Amino acid sequence: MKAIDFPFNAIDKLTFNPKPQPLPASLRPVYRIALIIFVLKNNCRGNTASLLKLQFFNWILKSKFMQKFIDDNMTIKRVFTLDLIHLDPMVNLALKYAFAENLISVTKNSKYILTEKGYEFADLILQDEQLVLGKERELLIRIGKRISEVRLRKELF
Amino acid sequence: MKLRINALRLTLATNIGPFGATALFDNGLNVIRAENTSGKSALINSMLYALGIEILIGKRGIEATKPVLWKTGDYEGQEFKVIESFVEIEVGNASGDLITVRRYIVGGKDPRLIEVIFGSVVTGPKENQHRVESFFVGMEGAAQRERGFHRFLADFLELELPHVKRFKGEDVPLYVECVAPLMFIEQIRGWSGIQATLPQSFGIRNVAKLAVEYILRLDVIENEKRRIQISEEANRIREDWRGVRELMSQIASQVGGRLMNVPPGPGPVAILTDETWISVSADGEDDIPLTNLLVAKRSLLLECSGEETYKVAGNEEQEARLDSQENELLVVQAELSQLRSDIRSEEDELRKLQDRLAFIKDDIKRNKDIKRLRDLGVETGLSVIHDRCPTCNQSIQDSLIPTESAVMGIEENINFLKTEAEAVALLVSAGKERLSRLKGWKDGKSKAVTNLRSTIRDLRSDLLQTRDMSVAVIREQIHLQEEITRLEQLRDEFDEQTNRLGCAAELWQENRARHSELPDDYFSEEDKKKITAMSKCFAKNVQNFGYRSTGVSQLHISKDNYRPVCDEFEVAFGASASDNIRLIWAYTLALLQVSSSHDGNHWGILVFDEPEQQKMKEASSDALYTEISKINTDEFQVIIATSASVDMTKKRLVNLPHNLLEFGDIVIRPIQD
Repeated sequence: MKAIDFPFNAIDKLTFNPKPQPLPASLRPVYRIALIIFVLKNNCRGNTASLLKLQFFNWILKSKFMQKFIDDNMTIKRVFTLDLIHLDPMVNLALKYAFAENLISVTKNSKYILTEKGYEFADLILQDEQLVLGKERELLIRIGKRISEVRLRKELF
Repeated sequence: MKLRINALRLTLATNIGPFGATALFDNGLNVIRAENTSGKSALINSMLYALGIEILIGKRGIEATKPVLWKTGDYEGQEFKVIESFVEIEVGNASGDLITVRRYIVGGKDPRLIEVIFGSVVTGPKENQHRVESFFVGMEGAAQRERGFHRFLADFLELELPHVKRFKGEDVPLYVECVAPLMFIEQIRGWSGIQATLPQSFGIRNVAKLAVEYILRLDVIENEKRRIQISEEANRIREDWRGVRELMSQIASQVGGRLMNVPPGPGPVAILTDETWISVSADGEDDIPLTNLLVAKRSLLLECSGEETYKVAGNEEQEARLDSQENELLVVQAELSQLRSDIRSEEDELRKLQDRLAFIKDDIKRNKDIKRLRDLGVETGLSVIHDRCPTCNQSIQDSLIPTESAVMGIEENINFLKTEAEAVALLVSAGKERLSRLKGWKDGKSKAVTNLRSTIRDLRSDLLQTRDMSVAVIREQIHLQEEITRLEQLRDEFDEQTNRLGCAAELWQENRARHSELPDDYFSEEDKKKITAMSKCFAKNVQNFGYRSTGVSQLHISKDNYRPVCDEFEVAFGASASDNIRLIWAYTLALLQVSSSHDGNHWGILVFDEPEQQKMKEASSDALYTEISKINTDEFQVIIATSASVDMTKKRLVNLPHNLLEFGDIVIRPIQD
């Protein structure tokens, strides 16, 4: 290949301008926070959940395979195994934000629980006229509270 | 004046006898004066109830009316229980026709039914008989179905309500309840802001703006509707075009050729300058049009149908032909297997691109969700929405992972994704076309393989047997004949599609022509005049009413949402409580004034329940009454309910044309025969 003769002599100076970069929506804090809050409100008894359960739901939302799997096997016993779940550090980060925003707090046995403010936020999402998070909402509402903390723990370990 | 209220009458049957109240109204200024807690609001609320717009009070059905009309009340220390009650309102339209609307509160008929009597019952002679019809209200369809009261009312009053879009997509008439808050100011919630009682539950896009546009009869509504219609039609044509093109390229691939001179979609001007044709590359030679190929095939058929070709050739010649055909078969088989692997990799590539496209579309949806979540987050008071750390309040990036450079804003991100989606969609369609072409070639080649095999078989049997005629030559002829028939059929189909494309192009041109006729500006010249007049009128009123919060000179009406703004900020947020009331007076009145001077749709009625809120200064109230009395009384009717003292009201109204209804201590009294 022939090297290109770049006319360096003719150029006095080069300027580089940083351009903002695009970001997948799933890396925006507010998106993840909203999903966590919604899961706590909609899929957890007493609006309380362990980190494991939140990670589990995060993976359900992410993976098309898991969504189908859950739909097919919801009522069959012992369906969850640990290699089904990918642990995502972004969930922990989003939890930190949500905690700092006072949307959630931590219970004595180190679970996450929705605060009043978090509850309000979840209600706003649930009642939104413009159907925000339509697909995600539909899936989570379909699953409902059927995946309990006990079941998850028993089957995963 | 579209709506004139002639009279309002409340009738109650109680355990201690009949009770009631009657109010007769004139054109121009009407003042209902009574003491506090005398039942004034019961009267005004029942007016809204009778018209089926009680949702402005915040409730539907009888709960919107005061308990004195459906439960218990007292008169001179004696308590009474309501057994049956109804309200009647006499309403006139622009042509002077009168109807009486009767709606039951308790007892009698279902409160969701409204009786319309075609004549004046309250003011007219008693003995007259009139036609009565029933309508329903407060249920789905009240504005659209034939028996819906609001549909009837809109027809009777000739309201000319525009059709508007709902969030869910369908068209509905702008509901009466959405326009009324600009004319009926109710006491409890009405004075908290302009259009404070506007119901949001109808799911109409930009409903607050639409209501003002309707009252001022701005061209914007009509233009916006036309704009949407044209763009919907354009989408239909585009889809049609794409479908036709898809069919054409299928035909092209069936003959193993390529489609020429058909643009992927109608461009800015969709004139088909060049004739469309199919280019076929025949046996490695230059590309020729399908029609030329047909001519070539026909002459080939003529050539080989001569007598002598049927004769069996000499053995040597036959062997040479067999040899060349066997070589040809090897070549074609190799080409075929190459094509197969090309198709596989092309399919792989296409699948990846389609996955990518699906992901981008998902991401666009999520980004839009984020935009909405940010709105909701602002309501909840989250700091991350403003890119602030909730703990230390320092600025942070809108990202969960650290990035080297700044991240795009949501809007920018959506636009970025949209351009990416466009590019990938282009790649997908190009890939599809390539794939269908490859498949066409593959079909051609596998047919060639079959043909070659049978030719070889025929040549062999010709060599083994001695016959007068060569089987190989006959088969070749038959193939040629079949091929020609197939090509002709495809050519006819292609011509048909070309015609359809021509039609689409014509439609497109016509659509673009109409598109270019739309005004460049959002507002028409007439609209601009109306908004300027509205600004002026509003500023003048505000000054008259003694508004003091911010510099009056900077107050004007925003072109974005038609709200009063000062330096691009909505003034209502910065004004004092009493000045907010003055803003509502000035705005509501300005709508009536501009509508009457600039041919708007205002119904010509204003109802103010207790306008003297927040310890209003007397001078301001005086100015309100004076300003109202200046409007031409043929064009409007204002009904004010007040609890200001008798003397004060009399003093205020002296020298002003008016109709004073004095109720004293109590509005609802026993009816004397």
